[in-house]
Amino acid sequence: MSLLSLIQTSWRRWTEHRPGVLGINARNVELVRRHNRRKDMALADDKLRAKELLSAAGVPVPETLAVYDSFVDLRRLPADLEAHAELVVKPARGTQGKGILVLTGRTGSDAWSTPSGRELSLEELRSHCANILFGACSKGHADRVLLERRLHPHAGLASLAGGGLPDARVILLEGRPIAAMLRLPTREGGGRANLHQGAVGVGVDMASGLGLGGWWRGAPVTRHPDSGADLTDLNVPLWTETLDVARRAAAALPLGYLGVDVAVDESLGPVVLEVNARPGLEIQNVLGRGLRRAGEREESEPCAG
Amino acid sequence: MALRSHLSGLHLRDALPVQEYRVRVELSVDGTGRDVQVRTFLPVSDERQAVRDHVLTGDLTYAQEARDGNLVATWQGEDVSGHHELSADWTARCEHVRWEIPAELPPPRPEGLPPELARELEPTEVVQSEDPEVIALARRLAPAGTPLPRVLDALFDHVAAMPYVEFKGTTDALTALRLGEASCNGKGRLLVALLRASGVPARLVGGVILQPGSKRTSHQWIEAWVANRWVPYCPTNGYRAELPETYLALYRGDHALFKRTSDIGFDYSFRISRRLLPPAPSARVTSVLGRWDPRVALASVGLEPDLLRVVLMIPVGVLVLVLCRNVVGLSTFGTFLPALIAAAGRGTGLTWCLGGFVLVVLATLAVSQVLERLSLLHVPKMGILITFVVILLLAATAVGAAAGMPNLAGVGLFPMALLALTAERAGRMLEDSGARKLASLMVSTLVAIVACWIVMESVAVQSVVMAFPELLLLIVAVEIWLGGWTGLRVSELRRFRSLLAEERAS
Repeated sequence: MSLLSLIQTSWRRWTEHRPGVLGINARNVELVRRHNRRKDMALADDKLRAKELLSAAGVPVPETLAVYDSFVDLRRLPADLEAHAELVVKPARGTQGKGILVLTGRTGSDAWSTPSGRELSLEELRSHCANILFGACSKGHADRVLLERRLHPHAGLASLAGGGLPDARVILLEGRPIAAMLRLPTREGGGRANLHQGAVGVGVDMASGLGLGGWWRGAPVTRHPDSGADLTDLNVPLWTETLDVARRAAAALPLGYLGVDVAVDESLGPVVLEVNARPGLEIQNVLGRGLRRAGEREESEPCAG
Repeated sequence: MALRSHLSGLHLRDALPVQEYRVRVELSVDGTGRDVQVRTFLPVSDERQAVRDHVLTGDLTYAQEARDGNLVATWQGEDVSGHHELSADWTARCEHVRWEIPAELPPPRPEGLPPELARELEPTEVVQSEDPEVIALARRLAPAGTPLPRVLDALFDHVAAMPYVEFKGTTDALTALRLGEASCNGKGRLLVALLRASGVPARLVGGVILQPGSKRTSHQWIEAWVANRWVPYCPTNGYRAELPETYLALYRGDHALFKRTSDIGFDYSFRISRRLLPPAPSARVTSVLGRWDPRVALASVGLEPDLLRVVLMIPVGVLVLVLCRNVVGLSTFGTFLPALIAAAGRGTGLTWCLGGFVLVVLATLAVSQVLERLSLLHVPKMGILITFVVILLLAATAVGAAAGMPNLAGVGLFPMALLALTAERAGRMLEDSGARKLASLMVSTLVAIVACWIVMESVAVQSVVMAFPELLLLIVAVEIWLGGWTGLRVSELRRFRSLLAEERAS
């Protein structure tokens, strides 16, 4: 009797207790499935289509220099490399920064360099593009290659860049930003702005754009692991504009729940890098608060924001 | 399910697996050049024990024959010298049975019994039922005119209450009475003597208590003639008109379990193994579907029921996986791969199932790393990997068969295309996230395989799902519920532990 009731109460506490922390199950059921239609989520997975919609709505996105749909298009690669000293090679459907190659300039007759100082030949670049087309970065699905203008981090964040491009991840629910963090690449993570690949997350106060403290590899940090730059008194440059760009991006897309990644370029200002229809949950650890309540408040006050 | 149970009289306990024991008596004989004879008893089926598949082996002449209601096995040889191994095997299944003794039985009446029962009232050299001391004790415990049920209780209680002493030799009834303590055969003889002295036909029963393992100990209890049937009593372990399912009777009467020529070296032991068996297909397992029942359809085209069992277990394994992933938060290679590997593992045993899986994935991973250098297109590359997986599995099967490891040979049943995909994904993961991430995913995949295997290989689960295939609908119901369940996964309790701790504090 007592054992049975103990099992009963702990089962009930576990299944019915609604913590403020959002788990994967709750995110998928209460947010993704309720606010996003399946066919619209495919849109977020295809950077080219998302970019088309965003730029049509006047949301700043990185300039597309070239698109390769097939092998035949790769013939244009030498000419495109000739025309643009600095550029980024991206798979249209890649996830978690896979397949993204940044070229900082030409260093020889057959050599292009990356931010880490590695040199690549034309043949190696061609093979990288071919792998993207094969689907090496998109779970075997045929893919397209994007050549984009390279962005440079804003001076206010340059010391936190870790050899990559930091961005602000803003999570929006029905047009209202509910959480934001800065993602600072590290050398260890190969310059990728993805928390699972070694980037530092810094929570951002929505109203002021002030940093709320860092989170790296599952624990709080106060300094950037590469430069040692202080993370405690961080002030995101152009925060109001960044938030505005994120809002406009959300409005331009048919997704009710999404994450928008915004980089602040030194000359262009806030630019949307990509959108995500199933943004990760680690932001809760970064911010030190759960996201579930934010979603509930939105539902009870649909006019807020 | 409840409805069908009600309609067809098929109860859950009919669907539960039964315990079956394989018993092997191993005898070793060292002859000294003279004639040798060894005899023992083989169990026979009766109302509470089912015995089948008697097998005798040995390089002496052996035979079995029925004698006085017992089945006797005999080995003999002329001028035997040297070491000889003999054995007797059988399969037995016993039930726990309790006998009802009618309360209103009259006092025992020894007169007018048929000869075969009158014989069980006679004193013997070691069951001294006419000894004055025995008679005096019997009278004191149950005076003349006591109704039979109270006679049985009084005599049994007295003998059962005597201290038990470990003693390997034979103890006769009178010695047991005088010492006031005895081993199982001493207690048995005393109870038989007291019963006979009170006019109740009684006899000794020799048998063995079924416990998996190896042992030399046999056991003795008794039977008393009550209301026209033999009812067992075990004064050593306190079973009154009741025997548990571990008691296997080998013979009736006051015999030694083994009898042999005296001038030989002789040893024996019991080896007992237990296994769970699906219940015998009961006539009550009928179906409203008639010939459209897949069980009937499969049987009619000559497919083994084993295949049906594997197929029926896959949804069960998948449910385990859904729990592993959505409730525990275990991430695995391939959503349903662990359930399929576990299903394939029924031929290999758990160790080889896991070992085979790791080996095949690692070997294929190595091949895929080599292929990476050739920068091949995705689909042809997968084709090559699948071919390698097939070669590997065939090689493992051949090695297993050659090395006498039939379990290893079972890896041939692994789902090859899925393994190739897994190896390919493992290759990418090694590149993207490093060996550590790969190893941790491998470990959680193995954990999921173990979980699936334990549930899918459980004879109890298999038998119940075979008898009640409508349970699959229950699985669907559970999955519908889990599909809308928004609780935190167990892994997330750890991932967000600092947030949860804060929340609890506030």
